[in-house]
Amino acid sequence: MTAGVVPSRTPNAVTSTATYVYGVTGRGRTLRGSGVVDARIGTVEHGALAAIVSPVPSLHLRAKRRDILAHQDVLQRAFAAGTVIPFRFGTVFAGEDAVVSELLEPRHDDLAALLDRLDGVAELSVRAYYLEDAVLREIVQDNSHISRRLGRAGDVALGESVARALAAKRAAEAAGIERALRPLADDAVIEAPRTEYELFRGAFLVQMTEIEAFDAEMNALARERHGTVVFKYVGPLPPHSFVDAELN
Amino acid sequence: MAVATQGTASNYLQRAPSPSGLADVIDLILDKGLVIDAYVRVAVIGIELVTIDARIVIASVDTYLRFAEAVNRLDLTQTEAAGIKELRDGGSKEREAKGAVEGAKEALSGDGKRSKSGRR
Repeated sequence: MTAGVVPSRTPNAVTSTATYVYGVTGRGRTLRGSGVVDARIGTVEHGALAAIVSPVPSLHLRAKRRDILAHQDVLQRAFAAGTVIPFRFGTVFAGEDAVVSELLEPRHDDLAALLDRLDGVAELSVRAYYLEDAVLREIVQDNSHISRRLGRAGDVALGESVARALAAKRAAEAAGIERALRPLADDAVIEAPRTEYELFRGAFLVQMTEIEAFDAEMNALARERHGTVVFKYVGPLPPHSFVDAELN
Repeated sequence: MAVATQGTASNYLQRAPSPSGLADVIDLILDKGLVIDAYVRVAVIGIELVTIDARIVIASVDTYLRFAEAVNRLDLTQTEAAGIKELRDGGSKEREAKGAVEGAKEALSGDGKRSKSGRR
């Protein structure tokens, strides 16, 4: 099957094999399965570290949908077996030697320290969305200046009032969700909502031992707003959101 | 290691061990994760990346009109009783309240017609 690879245009890269890096873990791990462009994954070790890698035909490859899914899948499987520093999609080195000389060797201590810090923790992703009709009904019920205006087609002022009420409601509820969950986490990254009816978008770095408590809190939050808010709760994930800018 | 959520069978809490859709995976691995200097070399093609750039909609007349339309087509049957009571009690509020009742009627009959003339 075609794996979405195009030959490199640089002559000396045509014959060489480049190395794709998924992340870094501790040495001595055995990883199986395939990854980007269906290549078999393995490790490149140096000191206390092991880079999770697979060969790719060149430095310049064009990734496809399945490659993106493969990257996440490899990390997820590695994470299920131990601590891992997830790399962003698309990190390619000139070869296995370069993985050592340009990554593992010069950054050994930083990576090892980060790996230590991430030991025993996981990322939990939390999103919440308003159900349109339900939240609008609440807004109408709670705001007489809105309910009194209903029934006029093309009423921009009415729409503006609704938008303002929704923004205020979202801010208050998002703060409530963060307040409930943050005490259970070591760290959190809260992002701005991206769509009109998105209520909350955040990632929490949680000790494995705290996941059960986090689950319980999530259940409580979701039950409380049942019928108006739907929660999407994903994890435990490799700590993608908590390794950014750790190394510079 | 993964802890399954204890039977919240309902759909108000969707729990998954890993991201299920491509958009969610893209969000996780293209936007986040460790970046090592300039070694990111892979070109991503043929994938809908719009999800990444989908930022919250900026306030505009269009947005407001959409909200106005959305609240006006709400099925307000749940609050209809209260609305009618208010209408009967407060004479001067008749005009405004009529709108709400009318909206509820439309939703009930499901004909979706928008008439400016006051039906009762």
